[in-house]
Parts: sequence; C-alpha cells; structure tokens
Amino acid sequence: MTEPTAIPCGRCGAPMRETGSASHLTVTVDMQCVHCGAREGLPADLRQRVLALRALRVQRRWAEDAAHGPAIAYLKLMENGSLFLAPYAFGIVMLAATLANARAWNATSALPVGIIGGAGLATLVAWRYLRGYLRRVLGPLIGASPGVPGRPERCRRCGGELPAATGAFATCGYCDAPNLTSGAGLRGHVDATLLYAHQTAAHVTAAGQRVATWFRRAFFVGALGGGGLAYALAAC
Amino acid sequence: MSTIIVTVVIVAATFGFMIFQRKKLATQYAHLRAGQLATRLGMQLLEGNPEFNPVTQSVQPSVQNTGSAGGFLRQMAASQVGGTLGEFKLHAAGQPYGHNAELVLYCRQDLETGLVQNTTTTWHDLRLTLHARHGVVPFDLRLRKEMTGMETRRRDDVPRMPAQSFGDPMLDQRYVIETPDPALPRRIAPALAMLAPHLIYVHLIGTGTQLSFVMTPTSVMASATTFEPILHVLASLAAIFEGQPMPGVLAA
Repeated sequence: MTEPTAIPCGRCGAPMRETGSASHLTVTVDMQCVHCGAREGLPADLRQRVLALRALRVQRRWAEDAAHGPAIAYLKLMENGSLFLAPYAFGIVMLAATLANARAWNATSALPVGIIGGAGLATLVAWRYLRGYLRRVLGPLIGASPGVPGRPERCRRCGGELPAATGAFATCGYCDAPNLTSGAGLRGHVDATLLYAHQTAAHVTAAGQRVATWFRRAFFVGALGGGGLAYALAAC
Repeated sequence: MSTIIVTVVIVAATFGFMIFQRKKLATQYAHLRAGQLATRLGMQLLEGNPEFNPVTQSVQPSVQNTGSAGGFLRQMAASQVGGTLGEFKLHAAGQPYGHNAELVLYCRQDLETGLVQNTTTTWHDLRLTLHARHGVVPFDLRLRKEMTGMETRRRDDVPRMPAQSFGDPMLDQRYVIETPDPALPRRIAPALAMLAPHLIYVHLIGTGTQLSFVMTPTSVMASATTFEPILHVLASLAAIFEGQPMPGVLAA
C-alpha cells in the first residue's frame, strides 16, 4: 500500500480523525468521526500499522540525531571561540590585577604572564585552524547523509502535496482531509541513516580526537614558548 | 585595601562564571528534568524531586553536596567523623509500549574516616527496566571497548555466561554479548539498531522477565539524554521475546 488511505466512519462513512495521544509510547489508537462524532477503535491490522508508523517517525528522528548529532555538536562547539579563549582572557585579567597590585615586575613575575599569554595565543591559532578543519571534514559528512527516497505523499481527496507528517496521520493543508500516511520508504530511510551513522561514527570520533590532541599540543607549545620568551625578555 | 578589592573581584568573577555556566546548561537541558523526562518515557514520577536533572546533576550525594550550603556542611562533618554523605532516590513507573516499565535511580554513599585514608562506600541501583510478559533468555550486553571512567560493573556473585557472536562484524566489533543461547544474538540484533553508535556507555541485561539498561553512578549523566531510544530498544527486545512485531515494523 503506497497511497494515502482514508479511514471511514463505520456509522456514517465520513473520514475519521485521530484523537487522544498520538505518542509512540501508547498502544491504543482512538479515532473519532469528524461528522457524527462516533468513536471507534481500529481493526487490528490497521491499528498495528498506525502504531508502526508512529514508532517509525520517532525512529527516523533518532536515526538522524545519531547520524548528525555528534558532528553538529562538534561544529557548534567550535563556532563558539569564547569557550576556548575566555579562560585565558580571565587568567590574564586576574594576573594583571594581581601584578598591578603588587607593583613588582621582574623575570619571575613575567613568567606566568608569558605562559598564559602564550598558551592563549596558541589556542587562538589552533582554534581558527581546527574550526576550518572540522568544517571541511564534518560538513560533507552531514551533507552526504541519505535523504528520504521518493516523492512527497499526496492527499487522497484533492491530490495536494501533504506536509511532512510527525505521526501516522497527515492533514492536507489545502482541503483539510485527514490522510493515513503510507510510510513507503521510511523504513528503508531509517535503516540507511542508522547504517550511515555507524559507518561515519569513527570519522567523527577521529576528528574530535584530533581537535583535542591539537588543543593539548597548542597549550603546551604556547605555554612553553610564551613563558620562555617572557622570561628572556624580562631578564634582558 | 586594594588587595582585598582584587581578591573580592576575582572570587566574585569566578563564582559568577560558574553560576552563569550552570544556568546555561540547566536551560539547555531543561526538557530532561525528572518530571518531564518521566512523561517523555510514558511514566509517572512516583518518588524524587521533579526538578532533578540527570543530565546536569550527579546522582552521587558526594557530588551533590558541593552544590549547596547544607550539603557542603554535611560533607565537611562526614569528612571529620565519618558517616553518611547522603542518599538519592528517584522512581518513575508507567506502561510505555504497553509494558510495565520503571526508571530507578538510587544512590547512597557513606564515608569512613581512617588514620591514613578515607573510604567511601557507594550502594546504587540505577536502571531503566521494562518487564516482558514472558520470561526472557538471560543475556548481558556491554560495549567491547569501554571508555575510561564509564566501565560497567560486573557482580562477583553472578556466574559468567558464555560469550556469543552476532555473526555481524559491525555488532561484534562494538558489543560483547554473554548468553547461554548461541542463537540469541542474531535474534535480537535488529532491536539493537536504535542504540546510537556514539553512546559511550551500554549495559543491557536480560534476566527473569526483566530487560534492563543498568547504569553506574558516573554513567547516568552520559546515558540520560538517550533514555527514550534505550526504552525503545528494551520494548523491541520484549517484542522479540514475546514473538510480536517490533515497534516500527510495518506489516508487508
């Protein structure tokens, strides 16, 4: 069955609408006639289909989260530079306040300034480079995720394009007719997306680990370099 | 005088930054507070604070104590003379997917002070459980490569079951399953598909009529964001054991 299906009222034949909870967690499907108000349960096979469609819709959301979630989280994290640089800025301000208060400036007091400043500068450079790196590596991975196959479903009454359904039923935006969605291709899409998530998980993790490693290296190189330079300058 | 001002500014800025970050995190994960989480899982909160957020707050009393003045005092008192650090309880139950299910988060910690070392003893029962209508084949499923700090707990008093294979390289590479039934891994493989590949902690147990996702105190925060798909996996496993179609399977 690939075409949207009407569920007619057993009493008057008008289309029925889903009432009550349409959550994937429930195991009941309550239908009410839009014309005479009669409430009916669905035959077992149809009920099973509605429940399966409800579950498939959330499975699709979870599968897409699994496929894109970590990559998007990494990209969002890297867009926020203040997260990486604010601690250094905070450290410098605290240090400056302390040193200004002490009114002493020598090779020893220059050392922490150099360490924090150098580490902060190196982190800034690393952040700018790694942000571009993640965009290059993870962007295509998100874009290459499998899409929903086939064309959008159409209304059984007017033939208008149905909006993306969040449950088992979709109401036509043109004629307001309730449609039981077909779910054709949805199972395949969920499976393909999950497979894609499993196949790309290692790449996303590797990219994340590379970012962490480079930040660590930048910190040590910057701290050592900055500390050494500051000490040398102050000692001269 | 200026030293005092600088110290006050530094302390205020540090605490201000911490409070700001905490509030930001709480807002981001507000939908996962216990009251709302229970509803999302098709359950009702029977015991515990509905404002507790398992994603941003630890279930360990020793960690919770650092977040409040009262807890801090209790922690300080216990560190001097020993005693209980506190007890955390949260219980939600309901009938998602038509099965009895419950979320149990219980953790108690006691501190014993000694001359050379302090010993913290932790009792915990942290699990998301779904009750199948029939008995299930016992099994124990874990990640093959467990993350440091996220190791599953293995009870010494429970005998080990033989390890089996899924016959699927991807699943065998990711999970270790122990069960006396060699055919079980292949049967339940479709149900495990919804376990996201980025999960850093997985421990599924089947015993009696219970199917549980069992956690450790440190893994609750990492697992709480994915309780919904995990519950779905438990319901799918129950359907397989009961010979019913899994949720989301369309009849041909």
